[in-house]
Amino acid sequence: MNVVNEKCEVIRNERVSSDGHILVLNSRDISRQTLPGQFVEIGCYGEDMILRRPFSVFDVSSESLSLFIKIVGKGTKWLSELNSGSIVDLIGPLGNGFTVSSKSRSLLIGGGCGIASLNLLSRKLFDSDSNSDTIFGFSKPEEIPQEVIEGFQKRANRVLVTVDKGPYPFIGNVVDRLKEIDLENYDRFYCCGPTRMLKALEPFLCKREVEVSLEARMACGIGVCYGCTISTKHGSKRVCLDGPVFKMEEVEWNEM
Amino acid sequence: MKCNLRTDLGRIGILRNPIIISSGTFGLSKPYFDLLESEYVGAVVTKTITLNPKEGNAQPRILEGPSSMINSIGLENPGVLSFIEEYKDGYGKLEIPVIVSISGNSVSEFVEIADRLNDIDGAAAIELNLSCPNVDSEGLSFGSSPERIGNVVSECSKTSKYPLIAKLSPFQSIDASFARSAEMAGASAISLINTVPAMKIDINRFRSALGALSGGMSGPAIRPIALKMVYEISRDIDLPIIGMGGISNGEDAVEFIMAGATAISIGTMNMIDPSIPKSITKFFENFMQVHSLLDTAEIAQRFIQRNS
Repeated sequence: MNVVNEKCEVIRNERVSSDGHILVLNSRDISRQTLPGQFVEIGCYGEDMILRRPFSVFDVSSESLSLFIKIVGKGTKWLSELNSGSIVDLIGPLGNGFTVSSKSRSLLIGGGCGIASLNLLSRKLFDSDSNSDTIFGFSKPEEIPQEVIEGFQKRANRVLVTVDKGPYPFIGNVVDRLKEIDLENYDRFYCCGPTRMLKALEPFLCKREVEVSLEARMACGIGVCYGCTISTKHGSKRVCLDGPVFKMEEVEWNEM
Repeated sequence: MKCNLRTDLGRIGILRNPIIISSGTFGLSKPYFDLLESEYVGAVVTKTITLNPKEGNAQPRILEGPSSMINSIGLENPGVLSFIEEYKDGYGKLEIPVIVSISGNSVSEFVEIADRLNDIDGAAAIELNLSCPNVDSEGLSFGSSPERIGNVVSECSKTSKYPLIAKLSPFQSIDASFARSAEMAGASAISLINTVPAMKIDINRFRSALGALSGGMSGPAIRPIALKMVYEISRDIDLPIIGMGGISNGEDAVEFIMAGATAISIGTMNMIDPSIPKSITKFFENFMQVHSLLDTAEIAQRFIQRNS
């Protein structure tokens, strides 16, 4: 697998929640190599911006690649406003992805834009005859990307959604929903979301087979600048190069 | 007419072109090498190496500002002994000249690192990082006087088998006194400018937006300042100058050559687009052809003729 620089045309840019967009790009070189959990660095050419932004790959086909963009700042706002036909500059696929094992029973736990890497993972698990259930947490009901959740529902036996603040049938965080579930039903766990969510999950899952995908501020994304390092049991690691997927037990959660 | 990009850096040697990759923005990672076209690179500078391993600063280490980046990596590196181990199978195998960047907290620490580096073969030079703003204690104050800079350079040159490059901060580039002192002490080239000390405050949390209190600013925002400093200092010293500060493309690179740099170095923008050396090379070739210039020295000469 080789990391490549690809100019991609925007095929569609769809709003899927109050602050979420799905950006579908024309891609062959990157899309055909990407594994679940890997990410791309996308150039943002808005005024005054210089750094690329890292995004987990949300979905791929042989001719396209899509990203889930949650608007949090200038770069994501710029991306959310791109029209079809615009050209963007991508580097990828980057980092190490999730381990996809066939015929496994998996629980996927996501928060916010963590839904992105879990989407591609859930598709690949489904294709490998693995059973995957899912828990998602969002801040507010309007942030739930309904059509994305429906996609998960087609592939999973059980999809539980929770929000921090209602109105919604279930108010609470993903840990609250995790308590409803018998963890013995699963042999693998995959988590992706904000660091504070992952930290909260750690006491419940630390004895199990868990892979976490970490979010980090990055400059280069290609293992050069050491801007995104974390502490692990095996010393300092670069999220962009050694991750973004790590074994949960490997991460020094107290230092996160 | 075939234009010539060969660049004479005096005692450091001749580079195939004037494009150098700055310290901290070049690495041996596979993704970077997948993207790099090394035939367009004149030389590379390693991440700064210290005597002992350094863990670096707390997260966050990276912020984006208007046309700029502020970093507070804090010189994370494995220390000189591990570096020497890794050098043989890593940097030592590259077909690009390698400049090793070093930093110490005292003259004796600089000298000890330089001494250890005599164990490696084939490096092109040692760059003395005299200014990294991320280091506490004596870090910045260490470079506060031209005499102390001269002292580091002269002590290291007594020890090292390699030619030395003095890399100056913007504060050491306000006038030519630091560069002149390094020149008198035996430096073979001057690099300028290092990042500009900078801060960002998160007002809602009442604390620095970086893990460290402050960092170093780089990127296009600092370019005009760096250009003026290269211009002024190149008038006052005879050593080759490696000019840097936010260079993003061929136009920027030509500006620095006109201002008096013998070579140029790309940092922040090279991490964002590892193919920049190629586009700068192509720009130079085209520019020199259009203006009937035989080599990069002629670019600078024509600027001087028209501005004197």
